[in-house]
Amino acid sequence: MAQRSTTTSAGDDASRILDGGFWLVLVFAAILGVVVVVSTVLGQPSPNAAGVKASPSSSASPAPSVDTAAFLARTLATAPPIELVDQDSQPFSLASLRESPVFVFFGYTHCPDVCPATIGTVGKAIAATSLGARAVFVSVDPQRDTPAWLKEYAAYMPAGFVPLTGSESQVRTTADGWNVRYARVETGEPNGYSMAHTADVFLVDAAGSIRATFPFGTSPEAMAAVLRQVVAGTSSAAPSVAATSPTPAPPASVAPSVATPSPASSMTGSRTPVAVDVKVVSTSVWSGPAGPVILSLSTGGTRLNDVGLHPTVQLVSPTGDPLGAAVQAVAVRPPGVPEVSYVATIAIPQPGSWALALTTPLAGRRAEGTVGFTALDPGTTAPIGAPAPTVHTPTLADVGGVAKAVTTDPAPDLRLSQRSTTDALADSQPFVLVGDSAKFRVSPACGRAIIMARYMLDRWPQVGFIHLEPYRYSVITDTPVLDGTLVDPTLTDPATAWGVGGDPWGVRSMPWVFVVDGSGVVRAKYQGVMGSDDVDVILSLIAQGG
Amino acid sequence: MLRRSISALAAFAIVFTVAACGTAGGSLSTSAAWARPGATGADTAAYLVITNAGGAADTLVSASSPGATSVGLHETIPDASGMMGMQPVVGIEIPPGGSVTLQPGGKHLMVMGLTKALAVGDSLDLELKFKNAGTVKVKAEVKQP
Repeated sequence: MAQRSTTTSAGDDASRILDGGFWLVLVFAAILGVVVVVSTVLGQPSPNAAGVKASPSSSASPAPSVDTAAFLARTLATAPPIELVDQDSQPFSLASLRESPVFVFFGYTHCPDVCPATIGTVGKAIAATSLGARAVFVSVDPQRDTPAWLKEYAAYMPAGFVPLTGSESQVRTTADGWNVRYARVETGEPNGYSMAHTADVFLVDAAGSIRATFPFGTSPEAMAAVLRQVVAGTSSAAPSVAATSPTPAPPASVAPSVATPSPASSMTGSRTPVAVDVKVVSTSVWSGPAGPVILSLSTGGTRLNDVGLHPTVQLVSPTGDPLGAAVQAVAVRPPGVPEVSYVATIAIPQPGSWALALTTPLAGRRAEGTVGFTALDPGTTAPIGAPAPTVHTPTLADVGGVAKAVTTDPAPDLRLSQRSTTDALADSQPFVLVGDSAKFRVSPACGRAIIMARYMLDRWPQVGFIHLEPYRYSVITDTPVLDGTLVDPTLTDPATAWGVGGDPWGVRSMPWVFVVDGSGVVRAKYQGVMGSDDVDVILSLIAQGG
Repeated sequence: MLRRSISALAAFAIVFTVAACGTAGGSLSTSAAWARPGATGADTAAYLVITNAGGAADTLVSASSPGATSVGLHETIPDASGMMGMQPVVGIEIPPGGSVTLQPGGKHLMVMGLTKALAVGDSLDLELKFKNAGTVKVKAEVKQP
């Protein structure tokens, strides 16, 4: 019987068990088993040992090991407005929770992992402190998270939680105000999509200021310790909290559409400026040399489509300081598109959270608005503003017309494989290089950049669209080969894989897209999810000589 | 002789582990399986530890549950912009002599469309399909960690 349930590799040995030292082995195994069980049982509490001492209800002493300064805000910023509806379809304003500390975070109810974990953590922090703190959960998936559904979901939330939803635009405006980013991601499963989103938890104090930010994975003990400190008014442990007063004047005058915790509300003029709702259209904004940031502007819910407008845009640091010189944005209207975008070319010193403060004359008045955004780390990729890498990307002709050698797309658009980047550079032709794979989807965005390129190709016949399959093609097996694993793939470096020199593009992920102008200069680059609007605007900018 | 006893011990330890955990296919065993509560129709996640005492790697290729419309293998990963996103995982490899922990914020079983609500104290039946070990049944305890 023992023989049958062992694995085949052990079968040979198992037959020997029955003679010789069988009982000896049985005793050993029993001891081993007891040791395993005991260590499993005892092993459980040990990782928590430090936290266990601190956590149980005694609200007197915060956990000694928590570095609360790591979470506390260095400057006090007013919490951006939240005006949405709750699970009973009743209008809800964050301001209605003044007098209580509030944890604010964004998520969605079909989120099985990150959001419930965050809800659990915040719930524990609230319960452990008994300070009457509340929590607000803002859905970034209003399509599925209707008030009726939120009511079902609320039953699974700890006491004191308010789930909120609203229209797509209300939710987007709210999230933008909090510098929260989210994007719909198709899962490829039946009717499936998920929402990628930033998963920080914000702590707003009773006076309505953001006092702390907790990244995903922060322990309930740390949140509780920070909450205690904020409520006790001792958060001056943080490096440079304004020395004036621990409770800032509640700002009654914040215009609802100026939606950043950052500054720029320089209400100097006697006339109140017109509020402009600024949105960042660019799906990737990079730190490093000056690169394009595409903006859309609207006032009172109506988009501004004035090509005569050249707004002034100033980069603002997370602490509210203007950085570098203000620049004039260029108005761009892609062919056949009614909407006008405004492109500001801005150098951002380092990755992270930033804001843009925008001002423009508008119908004889001064209009202004701010928007928060995240600058990404460009890593080793070819820098914007620099000459494009000179490596030769393979074309269909290079591989004897074997489509499988240049693309894993089962129904490839071979127009994307006719020219190499070196051809385009030699002809001073603007081009868009798309590194993407239909077969090896290392991220949910994979395959979509190719689709975007096929669509754009018809819109921009004079631009070269070049697909680079970042995987190796094996001549022997006649198949594309994934080196490494899907989770950690080794992408083909075209410079070495094809043996035709030049410096490579330096990417380590996919999909990615580079836009290069007729002078061979990299003008924009995108990683992961990218919008066709984005590339359209950059190509229009290049076409109009901008 | 000594070498023989050691290999015999190793073989027996495998048998013992299998017997102790109850839920196993071949040299694979699972432990600490749990799922979060959720309403009917909701999505939730299940987590567990899969240990491979065998000498060859095995791969968790899919999962299903009579209590849900579908179950996917997913992983939570932050993207370049700092957004936490989920992506389907093609397979989860359990190395020989190693284990893989499915836990919050990492790899997990995405349980989609609960056919009945799960409350703390309930359990959720799961069927895990492995490349070599075949189907392994697991009962996940519903709890709020």
